Amino acid sequence: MKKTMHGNIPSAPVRSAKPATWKRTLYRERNLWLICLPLIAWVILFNYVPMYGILMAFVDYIPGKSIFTSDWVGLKHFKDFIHSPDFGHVLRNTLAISGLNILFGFPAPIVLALLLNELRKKKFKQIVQTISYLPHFISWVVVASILFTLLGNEGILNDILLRLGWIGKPISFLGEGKYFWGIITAANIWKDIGWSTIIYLSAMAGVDSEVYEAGRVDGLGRLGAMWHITLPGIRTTIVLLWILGIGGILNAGFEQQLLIGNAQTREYYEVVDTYAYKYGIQLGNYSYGAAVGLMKAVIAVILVFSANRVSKKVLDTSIF
Amino acid sequence: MKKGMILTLVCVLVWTMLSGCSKSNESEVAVDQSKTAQETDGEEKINEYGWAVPSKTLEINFYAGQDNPETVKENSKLMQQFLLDKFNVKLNKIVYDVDMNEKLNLMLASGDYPEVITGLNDEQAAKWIAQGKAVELSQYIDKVAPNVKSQLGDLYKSFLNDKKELYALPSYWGVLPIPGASAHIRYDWWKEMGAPEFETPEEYYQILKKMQEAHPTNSKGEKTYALSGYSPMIKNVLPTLAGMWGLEAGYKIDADGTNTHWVNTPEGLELTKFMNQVYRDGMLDPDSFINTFDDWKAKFSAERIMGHIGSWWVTWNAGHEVWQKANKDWTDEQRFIQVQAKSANAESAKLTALNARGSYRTIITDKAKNPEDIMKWFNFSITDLGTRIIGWGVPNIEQSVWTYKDGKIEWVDAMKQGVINGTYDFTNSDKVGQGVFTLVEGIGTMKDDGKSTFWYDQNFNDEAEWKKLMNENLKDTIYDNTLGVIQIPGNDPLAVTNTQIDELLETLWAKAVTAKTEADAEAGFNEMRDKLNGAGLHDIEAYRTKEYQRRMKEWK
Repeated sequence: MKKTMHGNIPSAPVRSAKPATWKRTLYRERNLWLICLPLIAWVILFNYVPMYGILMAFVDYIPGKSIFTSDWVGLKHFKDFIHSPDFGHVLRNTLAISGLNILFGFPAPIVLALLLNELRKKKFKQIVQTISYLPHFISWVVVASILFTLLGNEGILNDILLRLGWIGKPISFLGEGKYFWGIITAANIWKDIGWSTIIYLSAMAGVDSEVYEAGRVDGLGRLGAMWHITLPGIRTTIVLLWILGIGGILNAGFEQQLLIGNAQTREYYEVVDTYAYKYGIQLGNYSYGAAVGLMKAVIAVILVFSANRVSKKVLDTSIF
Repeated sequence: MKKGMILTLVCVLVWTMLSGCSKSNESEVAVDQSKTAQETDGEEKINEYGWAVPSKTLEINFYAGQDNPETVKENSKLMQQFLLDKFNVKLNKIVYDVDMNEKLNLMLASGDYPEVITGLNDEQAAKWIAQGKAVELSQYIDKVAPNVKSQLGDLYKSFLNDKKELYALPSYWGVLPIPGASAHIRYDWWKEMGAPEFETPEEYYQILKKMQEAHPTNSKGEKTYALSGYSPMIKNVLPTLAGMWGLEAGYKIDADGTNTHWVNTPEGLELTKFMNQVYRDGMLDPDSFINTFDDWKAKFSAERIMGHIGSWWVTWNAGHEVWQKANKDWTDEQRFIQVQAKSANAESAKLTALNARGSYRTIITDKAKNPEDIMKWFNFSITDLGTRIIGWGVPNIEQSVWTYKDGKIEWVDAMKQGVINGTYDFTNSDKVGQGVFTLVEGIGTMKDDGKSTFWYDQNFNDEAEWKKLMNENLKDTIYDNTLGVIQIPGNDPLAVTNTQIDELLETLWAKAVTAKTEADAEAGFNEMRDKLNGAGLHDIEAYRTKEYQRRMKEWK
């Protein structure tokens, strides 16, 4: 007797099912496709059609002229960027700032989420969570002015250090390049650590509570449960975000560099995006800016594929 | 039911998507071309200013760069109404709080721009001309705008291209032989010291240093400095500083027209060592390379700075003009005065660079339906009387600074005395629209009386005590730099090099100035020179030299 959705009713003799062709699938899922159609059109219209603008990187585009009638220059703009005196430090800064963000900024919300997950008092947990989200909503303009108040030559930190007698004259934290990477990394972490815990906390909420009880029976303490249950439970989420994070390794920031950086720290703050903005948009050299941006995008795609492949091999987890 | 729901959902999604594609509201930029530059058919009568009033309103919309639209709108009101009432001309000034270069590029790319654009530099104007967006104007000069040619005089030919075509007209052109930049010193404190004399930058600095010793903190207990500055220092401080060593706007220019950038000169090393000494003594505000103008102004008006090197007006604006409003006990001598300092090795100090051609250009774009009418307005407004109206603001009303009756021009005495006494409220100048509609007017001495000038407050320099003192102190520091104002066109690869060099220069000079020892400062200077030359500075020098020599040959 075959069990069906309708209970123990004897089923009629089953006719052999027709092979599923794409037409049949399409017809069967027609309602879903109908709903998706506007969204697909939107993606094509706004995400793919404008990509013809990539051509700008290969021509000498002049505002007011069509891209298609501009002079074809091939890889000239890419070569110009690579041979520019700024290329070395722009790439170095981008990789360094992003690398530091991944090194410290990636695990930081995981640690915070683990700690928040251990809080037992619900009200207190909610308050802490809410407070930790707040910096995310503060604009970089405000963050920059907070940093100037804190770290400026006449800022609070220098004032404290001088009063304690630990330094003889103010340290120019914002005026010396060697401090810039640390400051920008700390600011990035401070701003986004709380907000980034949301996804990990929701992943942790999905871990079966019976597993924790079983662990407790087996003698696991809170740290043990974190290590052996919670972390493996959110591994897929961590890997997914890590792969996406690797793809964004060249997104080292933009506003924060322009707002916190200055002429004295330029050798340490100039990243690909600020460089493309200055030499592309501000100078009206759109082709050059497009070439710099395209180069960054290509590297990012390669990194995402590489990270995905490594993750698939080593951790047996991947995003595609 | 289910199908109905799906259909509704799809319709909503499609509608929300298409609503995003709707034409954006560009009413701010969009100009009703049908109403602009209308033909002046019908009877024309000549008004009391000598303008042939068109029977139909001549409306000119012009983009004038980055500014606060609300402020501009407010400051335009009286002048706009006056021009409409008396001239039947309506000028609409369009500004955006957006970087001008970015906006111009967007205008070019979108094709959405008004019939006149002003405030362009040579490089920006060249881009519009190369795109065929600017109207050729020489065809109108003899026909309707002879004043443009006669007022510009010898300068006129410098605006023609190789084919003798004219695409851009200057604004703020002409020579007004008054100082624009100098060293500055706090006057009352200097007098307290017995007004010691100084000639060289080093002597000037030693006096500032002693002054700082006498006033180590301000009334709030904040540390004071001999000198400060604001970013970018290579634009705001360096040209004047280099002028103390005899360089012209940062370049050494030989008799044959060869241009050498200051980093490739021994004077460059000397002035860097000078600034480094000030820094190492703890006398240079450590935020000098970071300060914005407002940061600097806050420190300056808090009496934390003893001196300054740069534009003459900044220490007025951040000094006594603030103090006289904030401090009831302010006395006239609590102010900065403008003084000269010259290196012992320099023949003369070259602090103020004059540019007879002006730095701004005005073009009539291909959107103009009747460029001839616009040229008629230029033909009037470039005259001495037109320049007075545009420069001094609306005459004959309560807030006016001048009157015009029966062809007679007179100052309003109360306003004049305000300028002379330093009590004039410059917000009044904004109200009467001084300079708000500048398009082609010059700032040099006017031809009709040989003394008046576009800038209202500069007309009484001989009577205003402090201006007179400044002019006397600095009279031999002014030089003609018309040939030396050279811009590299944006489509030239050297434009990128030039920007890279400017950015590197600020960074590397800051490094050399803030070095901990003199040897480090010298090493930093040498490193800067080598890096800049490696980045293409010699190419920039060669470009400038070639252009300078061409101008020497063709413009003189």
